[in-house]
Amino acid sequence: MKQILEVKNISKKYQGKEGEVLAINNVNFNIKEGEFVSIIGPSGCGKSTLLSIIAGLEDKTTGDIYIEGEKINGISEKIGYMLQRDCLLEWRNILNNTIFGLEIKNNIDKASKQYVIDLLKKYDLYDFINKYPSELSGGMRQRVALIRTLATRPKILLLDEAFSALDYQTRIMVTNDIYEILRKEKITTLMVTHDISEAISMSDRVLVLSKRPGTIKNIHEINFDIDNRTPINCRERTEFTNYFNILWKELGVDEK
Amino acid sequence: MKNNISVERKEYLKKIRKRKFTIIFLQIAILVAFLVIWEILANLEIIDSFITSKPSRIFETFMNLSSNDLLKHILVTTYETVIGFLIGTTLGVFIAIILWWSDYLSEIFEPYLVVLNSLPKVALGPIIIIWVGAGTPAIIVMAVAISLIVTILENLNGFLKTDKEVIKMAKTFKATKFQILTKIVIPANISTFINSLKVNIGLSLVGVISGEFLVSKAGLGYLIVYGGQVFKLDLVMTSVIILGILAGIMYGAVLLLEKVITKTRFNI
Repeated sequence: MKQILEVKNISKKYQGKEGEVLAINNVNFNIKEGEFVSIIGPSGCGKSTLLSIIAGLEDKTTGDIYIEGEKINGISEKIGYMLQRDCLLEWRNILNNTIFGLEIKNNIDKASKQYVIDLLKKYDLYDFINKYPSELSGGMRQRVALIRTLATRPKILLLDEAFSALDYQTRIMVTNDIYEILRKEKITTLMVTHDISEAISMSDRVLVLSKRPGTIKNIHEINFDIDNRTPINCRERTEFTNYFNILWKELGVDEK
Repeated sequence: MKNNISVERKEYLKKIRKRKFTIIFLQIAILVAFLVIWEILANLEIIDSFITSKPSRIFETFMNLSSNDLLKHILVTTYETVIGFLIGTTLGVFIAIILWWSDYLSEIFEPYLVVLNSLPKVALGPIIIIWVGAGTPAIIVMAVAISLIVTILENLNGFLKTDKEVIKMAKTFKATKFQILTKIVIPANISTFINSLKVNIGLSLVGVISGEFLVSKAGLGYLIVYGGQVFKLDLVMTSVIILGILAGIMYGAVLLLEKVITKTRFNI
């Protein structure tokens, strides 16, 4: 399969009054088309910074990022990014929320609008297009946010702790929902999370970052022998616990 | 649905209606009682109506609008207030936008804004009169001076408090600063804006009246000062009451505007 994302030698130094801090040191990895990859690491290891750098929201100190072989600088059209909160605009109805990205990019045409409407229909939101975000449940709001991101047809989707603002039950349901959408639409995804079980339940591979300065400590292939894999049915398997124990040890939360 | 209102519901609605009615009734009763007692005490000469005036004479003055040119004075004050209000609000929001745009500028101007905000603007009166001349322009400048800084600070504060995550979301779509302003910061701050309208209408009136106290040949502020100087307390009282009514009407207009704005869902 073809490489979608290549991350080469990324490092990040912060300049502060107290001096320099090396947050990320020499990170390298690739993501293939259609893959779901997660990054986990102890808190403060720079995993969210790494994602912001890939998204072009933050500058890097060294290194290069390629998408489909093309070197990118700054915010790229090819990247979709979802934050912790859904960030829906309360004064816009659902339809106008989902086309927000297209509008910003001045990209609204018949085809793109039809694509959004198809997604809304497919994922049970079409009846709500004239409603406002405050009238929707947390899970529905997150789906709207996802459709807003997918509307611009990104080559790769970045999820930055995208579910951590939800309560536990909603979160499990939403991850299931979102996972299904991403698989159906064949979206390549890179997710940052602090939740090991979320990473295992959704990913094909998990990258473990070391504590600061963050470097890649290890990469784990996650394989479940299930025909219709979903985040929920993975959780029932014995492999799940095995992966969990391995990753838990590797995070080295106990070490000082 | 409408046919199956339960007994409890009926009782509840009745209770609410009754409460509303008694409140309005008492509000009117207090006013009427106040006026009646005032009139009686003045007629019995328990209070000196030369100093306190009395409702019947105030009413008479009010009815003789034309002889006192009252209508003209009301229009002058209204005109000055509305112009001052519009200039103060527009200019204030505009400056707030500039300062939001450039945090460099806003850091430079912060101490000036803080000092100007706490300075009693009435103290600027004589300076304003010398600079723009004694007359309507000076009064309008006074109204602007009083409402401007508050408008800047209030709106800038609102702009800066706009949800950072939402702005980040827009940035991931490569939004320009102008798009962030028009599509996120301004619509997110509609309620801040309406609040500053409410505050400003009152402040503009304060500016206009204090301006009219200092320099003017017309307006309710002028009438109050003039009436005081010649001991025409009927005129002073009438003017004060009209001023109260005027303030009420203007505030009501802003409330109406608020309703229109909040009801219209802007898809911006």
